[in-house]
Amino acid sequence: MLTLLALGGAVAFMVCLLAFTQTYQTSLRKEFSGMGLHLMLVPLGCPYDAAAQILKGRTLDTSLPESALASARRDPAVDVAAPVFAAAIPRPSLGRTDLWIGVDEAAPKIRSWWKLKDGSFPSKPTDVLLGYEAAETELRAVGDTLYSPETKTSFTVCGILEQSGTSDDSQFFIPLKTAQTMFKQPGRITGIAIRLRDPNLIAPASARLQEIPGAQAVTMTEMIGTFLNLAGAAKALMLGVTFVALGVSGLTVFNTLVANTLERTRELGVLRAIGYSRSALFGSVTSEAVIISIAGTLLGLLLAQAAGGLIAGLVRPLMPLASPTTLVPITPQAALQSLALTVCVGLIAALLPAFRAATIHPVEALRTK
Amino acid sequence: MKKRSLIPVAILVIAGGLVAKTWLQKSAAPLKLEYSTKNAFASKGVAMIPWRDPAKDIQKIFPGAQIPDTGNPSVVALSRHRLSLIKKLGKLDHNALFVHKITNKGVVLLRRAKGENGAIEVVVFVTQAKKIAGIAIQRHREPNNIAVKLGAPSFLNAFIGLTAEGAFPTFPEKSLQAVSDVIRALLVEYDAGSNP
Repeated sequence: MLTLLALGGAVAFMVCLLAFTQTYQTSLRKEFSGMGLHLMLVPLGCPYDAAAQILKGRTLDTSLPESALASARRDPAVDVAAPVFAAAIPRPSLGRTDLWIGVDEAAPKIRSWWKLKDGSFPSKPTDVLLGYEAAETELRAVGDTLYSPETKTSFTVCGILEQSGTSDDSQFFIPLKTAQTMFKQPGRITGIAIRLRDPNLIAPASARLQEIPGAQAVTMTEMIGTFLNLAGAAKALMLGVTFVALGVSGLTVFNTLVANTLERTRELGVLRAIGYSRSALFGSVTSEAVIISIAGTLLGLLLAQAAGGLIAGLVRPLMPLASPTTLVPITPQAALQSLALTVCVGLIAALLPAFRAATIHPVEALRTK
Repeated sequence: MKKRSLIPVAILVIAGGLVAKTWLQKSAAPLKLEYSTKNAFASKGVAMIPWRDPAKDIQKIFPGAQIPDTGNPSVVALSRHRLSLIKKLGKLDHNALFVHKITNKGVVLLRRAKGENGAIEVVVFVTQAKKIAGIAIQRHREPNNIAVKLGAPSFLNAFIGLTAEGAFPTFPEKSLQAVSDVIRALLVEYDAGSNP
C-alpha cells in the first residue's frame, strides 16, 4: 500500500506538471496568435519590455516618429501596420489611471478580438470608443459625453466594445491625431503593430523594418520564446524534483519486490522443482512490478485529478498570461507519458529481484525455512 | 488461484473506468467562469463601489468613529421590498445594497451617478436615525464649472438632515440632479432594506 502511495504521489506530481506545461504553452500560443499581429515596431531600448508594456496598454518614455509608420506600410511584406499612441493620466487620489489610446482606421483590422457591442468605430476627431469596463465604470452609452478634466477635452462616445478579457476593456480609444494633439506630441507614436501578408516572411521583414531609424522590431515568436523560456526553466526544475520522487518510488518498488522474493523463496523453489522455467519466474516478478506500476499510475491520476484545482490556484498568480480556464486538465497524452515512465521505472526496479527469482536453485530454496 | 488473480485485474478495470468517466465528464462540462471581487468593484454602477478615502471622509463627517473594513461591507437585501421600491423610485435593477457600518454612528453608502461627462461617485453618510449626516463626492470627471458646484458647501449641505421621505432638492444641471437622484435612491433603499 505504501509502495502504491509513493508511486501514486510521484505520478500525480508528474501528470500535473506535464498537463500544466501543455496547457500553458497552448494558451500562450493562442493568446499571441489571437492578437492578429506578427511583430511590433517599438522605439529602441529593451524590446521585450517595450512590447510587453504596449501590449498591456502602458506608456513608454520614448516614442517613434510618425514617418516610421509610412516606412513600415511601404514594406512589401506588411499587410497591416497599425499605429498606437498610448498615454496614461494617473489620478492616484481617485484610485485610477485613465489610459488613452490613439488609433487609426487600421486598429480594427489588427485587433481581431474587437467586436462592437454598440455604435461604431471613431470617425470624427471628438469620437471616443470605450472598452467594455470603461463604459460600465463611467456609466456611458453611445451618444453620451466623456470629458477628460486634465486635458480639458470633451468627447462623444461613438461606440462600446464587447468584453474581450484583454487590457482593451478598460481603455479609451480616440483618433490618433486627436491623441497626439491632446498629449502635445504631434507626429509621434508609441509603437506600430504589424501583420504580415505571409508569416513565413517574418525574418526578412523584421530585418528590413529594423533599418527604420530609431525603431526596433520585436516578433511575437520572440515574445512567446521569452515567456516559454521562463516557463521552461521552471519546468526543468520541477522535472528534476519529479525524477527524484520517481527514483525514490522505484527504490520502494525494488524494496517491495526483494522482500516478496525473499519471503517466497520456498514457493519459488517449488515452482522451479515442478518445471517452471527461469524465464517464467523472471516474467512473474516483472509482471508484478508492472501491475504495481499501473496501479500506482491510476492512483496518481486520481490524486492529480483531485489536486489539479489546488495546484492551479497556487501556480496561476505566478505565471504571466496563464489561461483563465482550467490550468491542469489531465490529458490522455500526459497520462500515457506518465504510465510509460512509471512502467519503465517499475521494470528497472524489478530487474534484480526478478533475476534473483529466476536464478534460484530449487534444492537450496526448499531447504530454507 | 485463477479466481485470486482476477481480483487485481477487476480493481484495475474499475479504477480505469472511474478515471475515464471523470475525463469524459470534464471534457463535456461547460467552461466555468470565475468572478472575482475586482469585477464586482468595476463592472456596474450599482455594484460595490470602492470607498477611496474612508479615513478622510470619516474624519470630516463622523469624527472619532472607527474606520470599517471597507473591503467587506454588509449587504442589505432589497428583494422583499421590490414592489414598494419600484413604486417610489420608478425602477430597481438590483436586489442588494452594500453598506459600510460605522459603530455607534450609522452607515455609509456609495453609488455611481450618471453625470453629464462621466460617472460621479457619491458617498452618503447616514445616521442611526436614518437621516443624512453628510455627502462626499469622491470621484468625477466634470469640467470646472460643474466641479465647483459639486464641491460647493451649498450643494453638499442641501442634503443634510433629509430622510427617505424628505423633499430632495432639484437642480438645473444634469450632473447635480443625477447626484441628488442617487442620494435619494440610496436612502430610500437603505430605509426599506433595514426595516425589520
